[in-house]
Amino acid sequence: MQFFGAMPKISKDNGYYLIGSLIIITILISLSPPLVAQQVSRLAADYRNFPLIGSRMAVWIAAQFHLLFAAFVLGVPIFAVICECIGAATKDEKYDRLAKEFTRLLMLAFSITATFGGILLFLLIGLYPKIFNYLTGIFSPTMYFYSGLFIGEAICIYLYYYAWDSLKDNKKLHITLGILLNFFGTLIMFTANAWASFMMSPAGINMDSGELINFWQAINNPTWWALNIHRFIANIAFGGALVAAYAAFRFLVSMAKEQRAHYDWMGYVGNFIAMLALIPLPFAGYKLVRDLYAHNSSTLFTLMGGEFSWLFIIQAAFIGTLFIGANYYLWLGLGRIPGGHRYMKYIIYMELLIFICQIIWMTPHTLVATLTEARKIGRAHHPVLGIFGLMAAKNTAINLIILVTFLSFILYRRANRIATVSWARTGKILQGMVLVVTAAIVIYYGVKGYFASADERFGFSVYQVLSVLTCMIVVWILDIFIFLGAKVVGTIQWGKMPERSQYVLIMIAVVFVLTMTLMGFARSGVRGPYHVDGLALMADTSPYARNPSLSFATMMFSIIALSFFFITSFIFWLTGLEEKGAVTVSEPMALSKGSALGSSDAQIIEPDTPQPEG
Amino acid sequence: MKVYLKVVLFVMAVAGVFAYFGNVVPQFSATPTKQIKVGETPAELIRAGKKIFEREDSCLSCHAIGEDPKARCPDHMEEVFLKATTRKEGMNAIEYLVESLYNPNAYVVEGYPKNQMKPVNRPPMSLSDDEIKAVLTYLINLGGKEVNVQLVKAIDDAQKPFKTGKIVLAEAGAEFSLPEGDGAQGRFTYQEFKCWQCHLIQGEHFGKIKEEEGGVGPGLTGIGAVQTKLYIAESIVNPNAVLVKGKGYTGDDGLSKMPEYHDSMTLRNLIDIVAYLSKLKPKK
Repeated sequence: MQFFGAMPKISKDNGYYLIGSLIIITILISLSPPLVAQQVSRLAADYRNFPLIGSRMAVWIAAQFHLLFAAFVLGVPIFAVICECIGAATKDEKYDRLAKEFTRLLMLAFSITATFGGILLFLLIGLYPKIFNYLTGIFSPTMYFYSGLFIGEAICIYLYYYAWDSLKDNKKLHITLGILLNFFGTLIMFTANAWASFMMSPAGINMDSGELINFWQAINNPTWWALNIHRFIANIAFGGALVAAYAAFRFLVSMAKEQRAHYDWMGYVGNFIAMLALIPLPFAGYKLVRDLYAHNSSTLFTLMGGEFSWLFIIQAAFIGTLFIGANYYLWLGLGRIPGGHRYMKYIIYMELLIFICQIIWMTPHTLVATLTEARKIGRAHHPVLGIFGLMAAKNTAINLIILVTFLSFILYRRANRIATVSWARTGKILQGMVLVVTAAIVIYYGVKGYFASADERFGFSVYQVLSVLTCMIVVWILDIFIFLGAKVVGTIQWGKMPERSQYVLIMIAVVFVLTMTLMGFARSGVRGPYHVDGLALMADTSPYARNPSLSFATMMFSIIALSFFFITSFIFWLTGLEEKGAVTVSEPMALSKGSALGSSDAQIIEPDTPQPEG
Repeated sequence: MKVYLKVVLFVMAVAGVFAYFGNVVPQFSATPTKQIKVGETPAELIRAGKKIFEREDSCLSCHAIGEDPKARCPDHMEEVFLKATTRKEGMNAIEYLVESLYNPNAYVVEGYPKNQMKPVNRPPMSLSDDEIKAVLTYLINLGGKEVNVQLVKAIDDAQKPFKTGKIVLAEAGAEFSLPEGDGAQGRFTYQEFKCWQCHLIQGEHFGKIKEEEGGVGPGLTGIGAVQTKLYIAESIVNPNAVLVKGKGYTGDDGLSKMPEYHDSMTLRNLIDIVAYLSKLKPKK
């Protein structure tokens, strides 16, 4: 049996088995929620207990693993397809090989995602029948839709990977498969987001009886789109970070020069993707919290001023570590680029600025002080630190960190290039002015926030974000034109990176995982004693209704992160078995046409300066 | 393998550092909710009802058992069943009492303002149907009436229309209302006026109240659960209007120890503080 002309041959029997299996799985998944709900309603149990660890922890662990692997499986295809498109457009095979290598990591991860999804489903049905029965009653049509999407994604992902070589002469079809894969994956996420966001911000129901009034409103509730956008971007960032960590590990274990060069490059690309997505992520997260606040203002008090306020200090530590790590990796990377030493002198100032901003971001507003201490201070807050414990300061700090990270990218991009256009100096001055003016705008609105009401202050963050985004676009465009036809000062020495740079990549991946576990905890916990926020019918009356302490939660995060990495390292090991010795490099990995992601219009000149050590 | 072990140790170290950080930051109490088991027999219901009724920041914040001239809501709660038999035409005592809890504005006793009491089965107080049943059995028993299985069933039957949410709750026109305030600003204002030095709010960390200096005023944890905005505003502007009994909140002259803020607090401050306090959810 053959499909699509040049597709790989599948035997008739295997084909029937495959199709039959998929159909049976779809039917089972589609029928299970309503069937089980009928059973549950007869038994009339609201909650059941899970032995040893309790129901809450069981669901927490299953949900978290499912989310981590799902984020990876949804994020990687996005940039795999983009990478493949770049390869097809530039006719550069190494991008195609890189895209395939990204996709190879997906196969086992996809199965594990589905496994944890199944475990989560059974735990929810068995342990939390009250809420699951209710959600099924509201969302059952979307659950059938979800099953269909899952089948579509499964078909696409297997075809996309296994038909890679067969379709190498029909790239358009293969890329179309990749786009379809992303289409199904994104819709799957949107569907599941409807259930999760509904629990945070219910809409379309009678808030007394819980009866469904408007199905579309229940889906398109106040936080649905904000969650969609935030998770879409976060999946890309997370996928990039994990891929970079994989490459880092392979770099560390590789002995051959060519392999180290390949994985150094792969790690750079993965980290680049992660950071590119990380930059807009705080804005997407801010939008999510704003929408949550618009729906229920007391949620914001819980998040930022009450029970979860210290959680956001921990989040600041995580995100700051990500940015510091990303910048440090880029600065180390300057060492492998001839000409990069020109920019080393700026690093200390950028580091200083990032650390100051990070400290401000991590400053709590309320210090735990005794009455005597508070009287000595003379007020409820510390006279200096109290100023920095407010969102006006923190928004300013993160925007400045983002600007510095962007600047690191710009310096890295031009590290081995000398501009040849006549207006290069003017262009660079213009870039500098744009950056300075943006920083001034960010600081201006930050200071103004201290003198404005809360609602006005929320609005100022929009101006800060818009100015940073505009600055990045303008400076980037200017950079492209300034370095058109630039002279290249030698080739990038891929593979010539100190080992600590790879540990930085691994650390970034670990912190990404910890951040996701932390924010998942916040999202679930912000509902307080309700399964569906504000709906008395769905008040959480289980023994686990209250949120655990941060101490307990961070222990859970660490255990989950370590377990996740053990499972992921198993996946990487299996992937390594398949491709053992398969990595070949047909040309020196040092790019001959400009910086990392290629620039086809650069001139090549030989390096005339010794390479600085990383 | 050596590299793998190094990477594993490194990952453990990174996770460990952040786990340590998560343990050194201030912690919030995290005990699971202690559910009052309501039970099924009349004796069990009465016992549970007593606990719920007497819970801090619950019914006794407004009502009283026995005489209390300053009670803002009806006192002599032990007589509710007796009074309920003739309160509303066409309704027996059980039906009236059930309606009073689920739909307080449906019938408001003369002399008491409308919109004062919120339906007890809705957020933020959110008593379950069983808890409401328990409270009623307790109050009926308090008045000397025997609580038997038939009476419990009668309560169940009277609750049915409210359990399905089919009854539209009565809304009364407000005699006076505060505009919507800025809760976030109100929290800052609460800190600035140092209200926290006398009034404890669990889960908030404005500063540490010493045993001998603190507890001068009633705790405000979950105050939004049991009191209306008007009550909260009145408590700030006129603390002597309603004096919470016992616990040393009053001085030797019998008046509230709460200072006066007429000259220092603006209307905006008052509106915002009320907005903040009225959103405090109860800790069950």
